[in-house]
Formats: sequence, structure tokens, C-alpha cells
Amino acid sequence: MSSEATGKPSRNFPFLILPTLVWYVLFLVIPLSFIFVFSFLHKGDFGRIEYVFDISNYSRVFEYLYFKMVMRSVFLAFFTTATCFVLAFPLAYVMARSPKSLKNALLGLVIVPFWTNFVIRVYALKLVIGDSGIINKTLMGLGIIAEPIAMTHNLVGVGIGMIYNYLPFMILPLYVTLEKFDFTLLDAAYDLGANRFHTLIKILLPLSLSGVVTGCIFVFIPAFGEFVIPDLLGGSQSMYVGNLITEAFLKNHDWPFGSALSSILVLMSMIAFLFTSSGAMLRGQKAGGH
Amino acid sequence: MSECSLQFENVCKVFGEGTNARTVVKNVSFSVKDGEFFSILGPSGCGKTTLLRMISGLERPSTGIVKIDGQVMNHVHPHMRDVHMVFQKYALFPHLNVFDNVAFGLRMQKVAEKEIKERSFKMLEMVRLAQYADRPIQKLSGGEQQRVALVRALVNEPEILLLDEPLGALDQKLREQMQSELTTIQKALKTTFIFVTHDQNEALTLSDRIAIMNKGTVEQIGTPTEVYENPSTPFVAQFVGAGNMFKGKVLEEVQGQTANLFRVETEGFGILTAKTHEENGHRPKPGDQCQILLRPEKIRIRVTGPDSNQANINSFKGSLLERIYSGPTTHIKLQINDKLPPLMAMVANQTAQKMPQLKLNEKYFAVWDATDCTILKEGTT
Repeated sequence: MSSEATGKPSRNFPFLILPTLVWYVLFLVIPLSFIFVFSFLHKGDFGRIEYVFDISNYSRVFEYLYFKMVMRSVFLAFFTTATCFVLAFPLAYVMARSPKSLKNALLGLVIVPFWTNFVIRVYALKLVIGDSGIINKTLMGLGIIAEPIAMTHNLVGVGIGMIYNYLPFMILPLYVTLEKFDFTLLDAAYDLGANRFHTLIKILLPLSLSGVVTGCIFVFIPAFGEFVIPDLLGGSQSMYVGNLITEAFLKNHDWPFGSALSSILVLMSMIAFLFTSSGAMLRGQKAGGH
Repeated sequence: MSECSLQFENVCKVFGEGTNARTVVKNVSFSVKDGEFFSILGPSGCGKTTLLRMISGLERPSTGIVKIDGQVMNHVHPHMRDVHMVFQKYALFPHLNVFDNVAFGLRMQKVAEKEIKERSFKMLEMVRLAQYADRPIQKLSGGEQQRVALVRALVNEPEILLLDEPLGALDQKLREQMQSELTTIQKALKTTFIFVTHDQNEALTLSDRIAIMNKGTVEQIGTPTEVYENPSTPFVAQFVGAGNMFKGKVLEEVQGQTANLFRVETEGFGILTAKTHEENGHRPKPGDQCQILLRPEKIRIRVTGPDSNQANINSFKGSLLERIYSGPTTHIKLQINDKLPPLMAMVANQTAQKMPQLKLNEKYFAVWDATDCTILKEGTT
């Protein structure tokens, strides 16, 4: 533990990270580099790649049709992140302040969805919100509505699916941060004349910022490239960047265009990541290394 | 401003419901005078912190009335009360520097920034921390953090300052320094201090008055001298200082004395004479079972018994079991009755006083005045 105290990396440092490092270089850095190179090449016949420099893949991304999908994806990712945060924060707060036994039970409930496959969960969701799903059947049976409420094959379905799937990724980092939070600080703030709102804004949120940032990154980045949920729950209107990329690679065999889209996706995710985490770092340094 | 800054009237606090209900504070009534240094002393889990949190508004009483400055405060939120607290582990905001911590309360009250600066720095100067204003909280030592916590509460000029075992986390030397600093500040600002502690020495040293709590009830309220010299219950007697306890039966009142003296037949120590205190609301009757407290330092050790058998002097002969020299005092154990614990005595090692050369297993007399041992009222045990 002395190495931790002095802040020096352990002597075992290179050996301990070597396997993961090799894995990442081999299966992440190298393939992504290929994608990046492909994005500047020309599409040949039958999905072949001609080794000719071609910037047009990128200019195509900014054509109205495609750019609209990029912006739609940005909006969906923002919407998902914001809604998940609003839903997850109070829940994580209650979990963190619960007695130990209840804490573990709630944590278990949050993790339960991970026991089943993602695609199965999305299909299962259809059984609830579909036109002949439980909600519509019940409401029609009770005579409240005559026609089923359309919650699939449209944006409502995409929204519900996204929030449902990404909520745990927001709850867990928030919970981990709040679990360590010293709640007497809230008492101290009330005692010093802060109302609930000021206590939230001035004390609770700034001190749980690392969890907020982690949660937002965990949700925003995958939500940005999501294509399964729009595919299964959205209608013909819901084409997002993710769908576009899958189509470019799998249907149109247009690897250079798919690569250009992917590169832009990675770039935008990286910008979002650097932006939020550097903001958090700055705040953290101000707080004296917290 | 009324004369009482705080009043508790029959306050109870119950946590939980139904079968899980725990009564943490039971029917507590007391009042604290304006400008008083009032301590609440008791073992952990006696309800003293809950009592403090009811004053701050962080807890609400289940029944009864809490009045601050004559106003009923039961349903007033903590942020609307003119009462501030120094928390047990300080609860300083780790993301703010020293100045911003101190300024927090004034900013919440929307005081002008210029005035905030003046008042905060004045307070920081008082505890010699003005030069640390820009430092992050983590860079301060325990004692410095403690002073910041104190000043953060005091800068708001509260009607009452609550202190929840604020010195508990400090080492002995620092704690003594802070004790004298606290009294100085309290005398200078004339703010009512309500100080919660489980440390009897701290309570005796600092307080104008002390309330001793046990299992949710207040057993006695009095000045440090009163609670030490005239404890009203066995619990108070044993929690505040050490003592010899005798069990016995009251025989009769001793006539013709200024003090209220009673003769008591004790179990194993024979008959002795002890006093009671009218102000404790206790007047035993012949035949009553009772407990008697005798502080070790009240005992004189003599080679020979007292000259005449005076009614207001107690004297018992026993063999010296143990003798421990500890600088200013010597602790002595004298076995009077083999079936009972030995009598504990503490004598001052004064040069002026000719100390008899005490030898182990020799017979000596333990002698004390009847007015130095007290018949106690039964309380919660």
C-alpha cells in the first residue's frame, strides 16, 4: 500500500496492464485505424475498396438526408441521457440512504435486467407497449380507449425503449458515488439556512459530480450509436446514425461511407467525453483532489 | 429577547412505528437561560444527539413543545431557525475553501457580499485562520477544521449555538486548547451554547449548567458543583466521577443538625451517617431502601480512629489492599468487609500534610464527614 501513499505506480505496473493493453491494441486500436483509413478511400464495385484517396465520404455525411440522421441521433442521445438522469438521481439517492438490507434488495432489482439478453428484453417490452400489448389490452378492456395507443413503430416506442435500457447505466455510477456521500453535509447545509433546492444545487450535485459525469458518459455514448432499439421499436421514420452505419456496411456494402460515419461517431463521442470529463476534472481540482 | 433562550416542555421522540417503535427521548423538560453554557452529558445512545437535533430542527419532537426565545418552534424548518450547529465530524463542505465554507450561511441569507467578507474575516481572525481563507478544507489539520466549523456556525450570529461532541475527534492536548478557546469565545460573544458530550470532565470544566441524560430521560440538571457534589441518582453519581456506593436501609433522622443527616444501616459496613439534599426533592423515611455515594477524595486515612464518637463523622477500620502513587494523588483500596468490594480512597500528596507511611495489609481507619456522603434518589439504572 506504500506505493499508493506515495502516489508512485507499483513496480508490477507494466506487467499487470500488459494483457489488457495487447488486447485493446489488437482488437480496438488496429481495427479502428483501418476504419479511419477506409473512410478516405473510394468505393468500388461489389463492395470492394479502391485504394484511391476520396474525401467525398465525409461530404456525403453533411448532405441533408444523412446529416438529419446524425442530428436526430444527437438529439436522441441527449434526450435519453437527460431523462435517465432525472429518473435515476432520486432513485440512487433513496437507495444510498436506505438501510443496508433494503439497499442490497434495490441494487439487485436494478441489476436484474442484465440477467437476460438485450434483444429479448426489447422484444419483451413490445409485449407490454405494443398495439396488442398488456397496456392497450387493459385500457381497451376497461373501455377507456377504443383504439390502441400507438407506442411502437414511432418515436414514443424508441424513447421508452432507450430509457428502459439505459437507466441502469445511469443509476449504478450515481449510486456508487452517493453511497459514499456524507449525508451530514446536507444537514449542515439545512442548518446554515439553505433550502432543499440550494442544498441540491450547492452541495449534493457538486459533490456527486464524478458519478453524474460517469453516468452521462455511460448513457450518452452508446445511445448515440444505438440502432437495435430504433429498429425494433421505431417505425420507418426512425433512422439514426447507427442504422445508417449498419445499412452502409451490411446492405449497401459501402465500407468507405460506413467508415466515414463511424469515424464521425467516434469523434463526436470523444468530444463529448473530453468535454464532460475535463469539466469534472477542473471542478475536482478546485475541490482539492476530490 | 426573553430570559429563556430555549425551553423543552414534556418532549418525547419516538423513532419507528408499531412494534419497532423506540422511544429515544422520554418526557424531557428543561430550560436554558440566555447566554448560558449548557451541557448535555450522557453515555452514547442516551438520546442527547436527538435532543440537539430537535433544537436545530433536523428532527421534530413526537410530542411536547420546543420553544426558542419564547416562540414555539416544533414545525419550523431548520433553515428558518436562528440556531446553528457544529457537527460531530465538522461536516465541512469539501468542495469549498475555508472562506466559502464560512460564508455559506450568510450567502444563503442573501447578505451583501461586502458584508459577508467583513464578517467572515473578522470571525476567521478570531480563531487565527484568516491567512488560511483560500485553502481547501482537506489541507487543514483536525484542530483547524474544528475552528472553521465553529466559525461557520458563529458567523451567522445565532441565538443558540449547538455543539455535538465537537472535540471528540481531537487528541488530548488539542482538546484542552479548544476547551479554553470555546469558553473564551462564549464569554466574548455571550451566545447561548448547548454542548453535547459524553466526557464528564469536559462537561464539568466548560459548563454553567449540566443536564445528565440516561436512557432518554434527564436525571439531573445543575451546576458542575451540584451534579458532582450532590448527585441526585445513582446513575449521575457514577457517571459524573468515580465513587463508592453503599446499599442500605434508612434508620432515623439525626436530630439537632443543620444539614439533613440520616443514620443508615448499610449492608456490610454497619451504621453510617449520610446527608440528603432538599433541592433534589428527596426526603427519605425510616425503613426506605437507599443507596449512598461517597467520593474517594472525601476519605481521610488515619492510623488511629477519631477522638470521640461524633454523630457526623464516619469511621471504618480496614486493611490496606492496594496503594498506587500517581503524582498529585495516591489511590488507596481499603478492605473493610471481605464479602464486599474494597473502599476506594484518593488522598492528595501534599508536603504540608504529614502522610502516614502506609504499609500494605496494615489496619487503617477511613474517616469522612457525614455531610460528604449522600443518600441518592432512585433513578433509571
